[in-house]
Amino acid sequence: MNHLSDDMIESVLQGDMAEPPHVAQCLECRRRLAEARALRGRLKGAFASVGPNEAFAAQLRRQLAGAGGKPRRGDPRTSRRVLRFRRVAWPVVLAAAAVLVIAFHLFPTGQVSAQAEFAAIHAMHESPDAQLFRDSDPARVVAHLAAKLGFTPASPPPVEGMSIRGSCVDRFCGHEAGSYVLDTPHGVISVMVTTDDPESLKLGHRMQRGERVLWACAYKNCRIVGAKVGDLSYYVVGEAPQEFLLDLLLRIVSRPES
Amino acid sequence: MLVTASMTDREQFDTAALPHLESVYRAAVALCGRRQDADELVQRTFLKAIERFDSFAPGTNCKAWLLRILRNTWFDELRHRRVVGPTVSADDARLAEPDRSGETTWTDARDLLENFSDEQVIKALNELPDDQRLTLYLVDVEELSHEEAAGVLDVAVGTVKSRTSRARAALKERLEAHARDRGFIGRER
Repeated sequence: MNHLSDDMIESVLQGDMAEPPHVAQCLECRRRLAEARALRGRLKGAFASVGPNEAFAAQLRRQLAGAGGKPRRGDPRTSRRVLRFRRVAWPVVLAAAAVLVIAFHLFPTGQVSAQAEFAAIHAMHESPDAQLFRDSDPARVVAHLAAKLGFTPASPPPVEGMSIRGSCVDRFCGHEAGSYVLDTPHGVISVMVTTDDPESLKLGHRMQRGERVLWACAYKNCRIVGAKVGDLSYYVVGEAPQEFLLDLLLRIVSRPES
Repeated sequence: MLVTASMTDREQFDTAALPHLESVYRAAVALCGRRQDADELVQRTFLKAIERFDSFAPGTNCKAWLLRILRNTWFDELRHRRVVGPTVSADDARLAEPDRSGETTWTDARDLLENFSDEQVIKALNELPDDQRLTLYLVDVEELSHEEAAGVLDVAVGTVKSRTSRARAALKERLEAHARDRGFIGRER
């Protein structure tokens, strides 16, 4: 048999090919294979002690956290970002709205994922210039939605550190859905109420909390949790920990009027 | 930890990509040689990765995806510095098959290699052409399959095999030269 080709040596080293019987009888092939194995092992060993130090790893994590994350509260960059955001907010909001309008016309049967719609609507709510019925009184925002939607949704629950920014009605899945827009310790949260239930919207995965069946998913940086109560379904949307959103959702769906 | 649909993009990135920081860092050292350059390359790689995370398909090999970004970022940098020629794979065409007629054979390769420090081995690797050393690193250190390495390098599997073989032969030549300088090589014909 001929000596092992370079290709065969690579295949043997990778375990893609068994060592041919020729190797046992050929000093040259045995030596070439042994050298290749030794070099491979030594190279791997040389890198065993190479790695990022703790300071570098921590610095990288901080950089990544700032790359797409929300500015921290109290961060001096926040006010500059808000000013910048205000300058660009309207074009962004109009573009988001245009995308939704086009999507609704192109895909009237709900082919655009509900998650994407929730996230787009929430992005509009986050804008400081969002067109809201601005009122912090729970009774008045409920009345506003009831007048617009033709049914009375549960009111936002009182939660420490949370305030109502207002309410509004948006197009969602081809019809109208109401929203409360809340300021919370975890940023702006949208609470949406619609007749579309989580199962029909294929909203992520299902979970049980006590007797309640809840649904949760994520889209981009948004989390969305939802629950059905009677004919209505409530969805809480925001860039907040899932437990916070679930707690808020459970408070809403446990309200006596829901 | 598995990436799940209920995670935000950021959580998915942290779960899928950050565990590969060490591998990416080691690959950066293999490419750059100097830790300071490796730090910068790794930073740029992860920042690009988080920007483009929507192009990563969950369930696929995230390490290979990151290493591919690393490789492209490095070659962009080299092009920017005008250090490399018109194509990054030119070494394949440029380097002739090693001439084994006058090749030094090692009486005991393992013993000989133990004479070199880790830094000396990495330095010898750094002397190889860019694509050769990354290929050898992916196959020998990261133990990627030839198919996975081909995906990272954007070349055919056959190219990975031939390039790995040439790179290992070139590494051996460089280590031999260093060994001769230090007087601890054994020669046998």
